[in-house]
Amino acid sequence: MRTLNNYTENLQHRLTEYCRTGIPDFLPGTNDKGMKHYRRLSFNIFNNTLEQAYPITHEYLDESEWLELVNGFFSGHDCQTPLLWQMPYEFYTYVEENNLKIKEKYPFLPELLYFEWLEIEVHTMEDIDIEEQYIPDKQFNDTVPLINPEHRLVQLNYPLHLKPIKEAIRHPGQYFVLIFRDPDEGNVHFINLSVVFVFALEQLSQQDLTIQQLAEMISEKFGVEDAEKIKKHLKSFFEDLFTQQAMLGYKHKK
Amino acid sequence: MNTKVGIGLRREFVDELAQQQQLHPDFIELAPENWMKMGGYWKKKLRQVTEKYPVTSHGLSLSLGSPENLDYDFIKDLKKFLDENDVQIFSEHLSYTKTNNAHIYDLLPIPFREDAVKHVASRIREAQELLGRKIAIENVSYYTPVDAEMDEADFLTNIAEEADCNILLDVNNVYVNAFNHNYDARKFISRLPLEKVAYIHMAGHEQVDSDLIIDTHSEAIIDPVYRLFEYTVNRMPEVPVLLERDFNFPELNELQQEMNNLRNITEKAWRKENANAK
Ligand SMILES: [Fe+2]
Repeated sequence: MRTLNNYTENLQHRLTEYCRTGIPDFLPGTNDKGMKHYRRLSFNIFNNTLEQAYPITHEYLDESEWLELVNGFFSGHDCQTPLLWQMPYEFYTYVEENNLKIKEKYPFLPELLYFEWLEIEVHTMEDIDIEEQYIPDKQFNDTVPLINPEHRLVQLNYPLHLKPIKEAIRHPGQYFVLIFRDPDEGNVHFINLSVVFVFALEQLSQQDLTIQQLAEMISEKFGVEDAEKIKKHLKSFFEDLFTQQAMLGYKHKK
Repeated sequence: MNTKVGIGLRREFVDELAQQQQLHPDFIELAPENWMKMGGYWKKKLRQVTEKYPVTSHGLSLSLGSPENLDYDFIKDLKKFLDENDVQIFSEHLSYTKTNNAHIYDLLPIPFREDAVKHVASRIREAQELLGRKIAIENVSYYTPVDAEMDEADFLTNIAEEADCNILLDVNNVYVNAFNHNYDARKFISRLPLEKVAYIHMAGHEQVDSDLIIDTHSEAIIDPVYRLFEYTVNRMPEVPVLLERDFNFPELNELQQEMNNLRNITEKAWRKENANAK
């Protein structure tokens, strides 16, 4: 049941194509000044939104490199989200998934975008209810650490959470970061993690485990004999998470 | 929600609205797309404001003028948002922001053509059905026509009648379009089915050239637009009026003063006794 003629539909496509590419297209019954305004305005919407979402990337790249990237994205990628604030995520995936020349010069570019996006994502992700009863300040032997669910646990190849970008890219390696937002102010925080604690958090996300059980698992996995010592480390690790509100308290084991 | 004057919610003054110190709107308008699917800090802020004021919503991405099908997943999310926030009036732009399954987030002008009237009206009907409410379609500022078969007044009127929807009359946009395209703003307004107007927008703009005004929402309302507003409200029944200010924010008391000006004009026209403007 099509009501729109191909002719009109084509006019509409041509106007958006012109906005996206900037390649002049002389549409019937239009004026040049107005057409240029649409190109300028729509490009600015993309450019400004991406500059705000990716301030570190924008500052790091030359202006011409940045503009080429934004232009490539605007003309080459079909944005799927109706929510403008989510559009920068598509920019990151566009850079990640496409064979862009700029990635040869800056191999860390996708990761930098990912890192900047994560901060937005953790800041804005939808609230996650904590239904379970938990104990906000005391720990018991039969209780399990309750991690703040509004977090992401990621692995990076550069210490972008520890150093300014120019330094970070000189220290490639294996870094683990817990990114979470505090429940009071909604601010985003980063915690650098050792591989042992990443293992602990991953286990906890899969099942309810007491600190005792976690210590035993770590001892087996990493071949460490002294489970008591691990338990002590774990306790101080969770205390630290608790202070920073990356952990909300303890809950009873189901 | 009659003879009410509201303001468009901006993150820049969300705290002020929550604390009710200098701004005293009767309602607030928000763009659903700027708040949907968000938790955390901004969700809390939104709740603080929506607890205090009635809410209207002005959509951005429904793209009523697109050639393609409506985005049904988006409409579902949008309906949820409108229901959750008890939105009293939902409006959208008579324009398109998407073709060939790609959003460009800018309000593009639909060609004023016969087939577009039929097409857009049927999309509005469908969207109204899915959203379970009427949509007020807004006359947008446009900077070029595209192979038009009729003028803007006929295009808007025909669609509103065929879609059985309401109109959001943006008086500043009428002024801007009349200036940019050389027509008489008052004649334009008198040709519209004013009984369908459910909501009015007022804003400032920026003249960038001797023959070009851009609808920026970055300046105070100018006198000729106030006069056009007065002309309009004298010819139609009472509806809520919204002040849009999106950039270049002045002192908040200046925004309150603009709302007071609008309230005074409407009260004279609609003869209300409660002239207790703050
Ligand atoms: Fe408007």
